[in-house]
This record gives sequence, structure tokens and C-alpha cells, in this order.
Amino acid sequence: MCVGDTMKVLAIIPAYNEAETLESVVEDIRENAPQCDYVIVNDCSTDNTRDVCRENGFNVINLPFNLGIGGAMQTGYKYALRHGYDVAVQIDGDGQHMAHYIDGALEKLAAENADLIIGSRYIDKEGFQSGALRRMGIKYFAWLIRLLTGKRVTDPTSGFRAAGRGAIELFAHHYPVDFPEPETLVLLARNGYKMLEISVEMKTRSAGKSSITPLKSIYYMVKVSLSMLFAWKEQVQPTDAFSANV
Amino acid sequence: MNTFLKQILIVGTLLFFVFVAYMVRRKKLALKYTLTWVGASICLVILAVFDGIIRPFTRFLHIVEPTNALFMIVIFFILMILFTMTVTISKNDDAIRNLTQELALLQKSSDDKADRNKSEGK
Repeated sequence: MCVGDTMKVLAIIPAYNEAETLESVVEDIRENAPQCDYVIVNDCSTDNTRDVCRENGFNVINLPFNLGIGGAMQTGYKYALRHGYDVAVQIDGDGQHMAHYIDGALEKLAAENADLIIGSRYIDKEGFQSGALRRMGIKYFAWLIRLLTGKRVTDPTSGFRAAGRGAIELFAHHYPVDFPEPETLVLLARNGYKMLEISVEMKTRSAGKSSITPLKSIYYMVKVSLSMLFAWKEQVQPTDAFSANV
Repeated sequence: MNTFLKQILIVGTLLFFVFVAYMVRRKKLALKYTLTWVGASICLVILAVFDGIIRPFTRFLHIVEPTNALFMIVIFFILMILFTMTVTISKNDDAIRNLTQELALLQKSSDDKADRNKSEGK
């Protein structure tokens, strides 16, 4: 008996050039989280991601232009909202997240009546921990979130997250364009949404490249810091978030 | 300001004005974006013809040459136009992202329907 039986759960898998890993990601969900539906958002990949999806009969949304991770993820949230899902789980298409943690996230979401569950690598410090520089960046974001919202988050850049109905509605209406994770946490916390962490393990990516290269990291830090500051003052209007035309 | 520079400014601005009007007529330029350009060129012509107007302004800012004051005003207009263009681009970005998502979702639901019909037809 697990919580997922009573909830409609969708795993959103954004994929940009993840042809090599996509099959194993879907397989992982089918095996370890069978109560989940899934949808792949193919962000106009330049490899054969599209063919892989068609050959395997995967449930896929193909974007006609490359929108970046934010725009792709938001497409998934719009899909989740329109198909009446109670929970949306974000799973990366590169295979670094493990589907058997979904159950725990769903249980916690239901038990604590939370809006967002974040899968954190840094609670039990198991599995892939990222390089030292990357960890410093993550610590900095955690500090900034704590400063802005008073909330303690250990893994603000984690892409493994489960969003409840309220957060789905918010994200379908408003989702940052790039590097979205830390910014959305500030947005949620400042607007009274409840977010909690669970401990997860992550794998190092088995193929493909991280979206953040060393050159981009300075730009990334500055931009995300700025967007977090703006998110701090952003009031989400319920009338906007709940309008039918999301 | 010397007369020769004045003449060049006036002729140049009038030619530009005609060019903008031509582009609007050919529908290559949306009227709403030309207003700042037209406003800027009218100001420039007025200031070039009656260069006495900017003299108090020049004196107030301790600018020696009225020409420099004119350049400053032109730069101000250019900044304004650039800024409104950035605003427009941001709006367009948003609209394009939404359209792309809608298109993909629509395509998806029509594909799903086609699949369902196919399997029912069997």
C-alpha cells in the first residue's frame, strides 16, 4: 500500500539530447514507481531523442523550438495541470535521479500536506556529491535562501522535486526561464507554500553534458542571485495562478 | 552652431523622416514603433533650425558647444528607443515561449486523439 495509489502522479522528464539515457530513465520509473504516469518533454533535441521516443512509443511532448530547461519544465507543468494530476515529479532525462525515491517523496508530500518536496543529496551525504566548486555555489544559494526567506534548504539546485497541486498551478503560470530551481524556492517560500526536503542519492550523469559549464558559472551565480532577489518581492496573485487560461 | 552643420542636420533628418514614412507605407515598420523615431527626428529638426532653444540648456549644464548639447539630446533619444525595444523583445520572448508550449501541447493532444482513433478502428 502506498500513497501513490490514491493520487494521480505525473513524472515530468525534460530531455535535451538525452537519447542514450532516456530509455533507462523511463524503465526505472516503470519498475520502481509503477503508480506514476510520465511525460517526456523533448526540448527540440538535435540528436535522435525524438526517434527514440517514437520507436519506444513513449509519452512525449515535442517542443518545436528549444526553450531551455525552464520553458521545457513549464510545458510539463501545464500538461500536468490540464490532465488533472495531483502531483508532478521532476526527473532529469540524464539518469541522475532514481525513481525509487518517488514513493518517499509522495508519502512526505501527503503526510505533511506540503506543496513541494525537494530531494536533497546533502542530508545523508550519500551518492554523487558534485565537485567542491559546485558545492560552494550550492552552499551560497542555500545561504541566500535562508537570508531571504528564513527557510533552511540543503540542496537548492536539486532537480529532483515533487510538486503538489498548488505548486503545479503556480509553476504552470509562472516558471523561471533558465536556472529555475533556486528562484522557484524563494518564490514558493515567500508566497506561503510549504516546502520540505527528503534525503536522496543521485548518480553522476551517465551521458550528456551538464547545462552549466565553468565559463557560464559566474554568469549563473549573478543571474540567479538577482532573480532570487526579484522573486523575494514577487507576490503571486491567486487570481492569476488559478485563471483558467494557464 | 555653424550654418553648414545646421544644413546637414536638417537635410539628413528630413531624409530620414521620409524614409521612415516610406517604410511604414510599405508595412515594413509598425506604426507604433515609429513614434519615438518620428518624435526624435522632429525634435532634432526644431533644435537645428532654432538652435537658440538649447542655449539656456547648454549654459545651465556648462556645455561650451551647443553642438555637444544637441548630441547629448540625441543620445538620450537613442537610449529611450533602445530601452523600449528591449521591453518589446522581452514581451515577445514571453509570447513566443507561451506559443511554443501551446503548439506542442496541442500537437500532443491531436496525436493522442489520432492514436486512440486508430486503436479503436482495429
